[in-house]
Amino acid sequence: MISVGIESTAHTLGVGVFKDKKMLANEKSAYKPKKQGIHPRLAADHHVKAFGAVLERALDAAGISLNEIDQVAYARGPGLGPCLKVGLAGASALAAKLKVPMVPVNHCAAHVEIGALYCRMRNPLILYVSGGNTQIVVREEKNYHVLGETLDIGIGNMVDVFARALGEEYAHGSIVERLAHGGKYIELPYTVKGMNMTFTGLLTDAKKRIGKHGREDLCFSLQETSFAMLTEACERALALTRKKEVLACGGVAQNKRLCEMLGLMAEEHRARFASAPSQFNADNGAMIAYTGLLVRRNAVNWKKADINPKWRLDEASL
Amino acid sequence: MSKLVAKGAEADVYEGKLAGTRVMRKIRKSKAYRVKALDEKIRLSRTRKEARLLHSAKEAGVRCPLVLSVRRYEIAMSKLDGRLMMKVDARTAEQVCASAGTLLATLHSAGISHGDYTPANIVIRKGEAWIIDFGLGEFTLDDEDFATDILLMKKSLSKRAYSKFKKAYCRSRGKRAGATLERLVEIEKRGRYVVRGALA
Repeated sequence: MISVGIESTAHTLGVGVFKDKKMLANEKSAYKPKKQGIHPRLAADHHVKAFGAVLERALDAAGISLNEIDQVAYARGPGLGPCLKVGLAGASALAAKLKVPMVPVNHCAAHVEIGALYCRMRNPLILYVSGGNTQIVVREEKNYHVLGETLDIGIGNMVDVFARALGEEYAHGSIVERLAHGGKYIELPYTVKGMNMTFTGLLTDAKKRIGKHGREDLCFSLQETSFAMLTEACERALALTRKKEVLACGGVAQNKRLCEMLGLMAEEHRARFASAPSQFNADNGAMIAYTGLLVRRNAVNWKKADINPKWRLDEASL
Repeated sequence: MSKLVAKGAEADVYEGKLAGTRVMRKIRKSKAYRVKALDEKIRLSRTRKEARLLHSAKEAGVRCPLVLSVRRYEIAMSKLDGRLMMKVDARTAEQVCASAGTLLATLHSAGISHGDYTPANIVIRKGEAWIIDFGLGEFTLDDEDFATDILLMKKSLSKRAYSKFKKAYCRSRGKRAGATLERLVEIEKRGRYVVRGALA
């Protein structure tokens, strides 16, 4: 069974190919805004232009021809509407031409499932952290259950906005991570409510301090504060569910300090911690292709396929 | 001479003696993953807040442990003899529901939300409900916080038990109960509290 996966929820257009549990290709092209954050329409324009080339590269890398494809999986949501529509259009065209079913995949579920596959975890507590999403999740059979989440913005969004406020050219969480080395701790607002957290108060306070404190100190403190919030919420969820595995996935899970903190926390509860491989923590098509195989029973005809920009993980099922 | 009786996410609870009486000691542990300054700040402020909450609740007539002493990261409080509501049979649990409802109403009327009001934190003592663990409590007047307390009970109780609980809550809370229950409906509509079996 060969599944092609199309990812286009935000800045990345990705096409991946999976044959059962084996990855054959994972190609992508990312839209990089010249200034500020993602402009949905410009990102969608990028995806339209990149689609053909990325698909071709993926098929080449996988060494398959079009007619070997058994299904086309696509990210139905959550994400930016204009970007999702490009993925839908591309996937529909492909499915209509090949006369194969289309499989709608939840983007968050895909991050979780590919992470569990590569970290060899059966039933982990999951921390999904990216630009737009911050959730603590467990899977109960075929459904996901959100135990805790951000009450305002995603943690990645918070870090990116802060990096931009620092005046960095290509503002991104990785810049904050680099600057954080050698910083000293400054007290910033810390907000955890049970297993939920909020980030806007922290962001506002940190932004106001730019110029009054060293950049290194601010980046260090921003990371320490927000990651401690995440880790504490996870710890509470772990104590409640008594899981034996903790999995981090999503773009922010590439941060070494966050992984270190989660690892220390998991160790104390005798749980195994792992973060998904880097190529799958960034948005990618392979995870959509793989998860498409798991949810194949939800397959639809291309005429019935749609998008859902606000598709919550706990509304999706495997 | 103290015995570890419970290990939570942020604190350990020991049973011991203080001036001849049996007490529970709740000690907030240091976390290796946090920087020292943040770690100390969190543990200190939460210990103090929990002691203040317990004290205010007691003053308002809420059945809860009595704070005997507060040290840096440690609260010593009176030990409640009794059984956890979570661990008794369904009939016994149902009998205490009305008492649990009145208790929560008293707490809310005093401007305090518990934050984790479930049968795991309710002790049955001589047929009455007592509350423990104010670790997630807040001084608040926000119906959102109050409704969340009720919602947790709704999710944990059988339909019949919950209706007894709710009736007692409304009776004791008086006029303010309406706004809180309206908010409860609103929270449930938001969908993220939909129970899908397994964890409830």
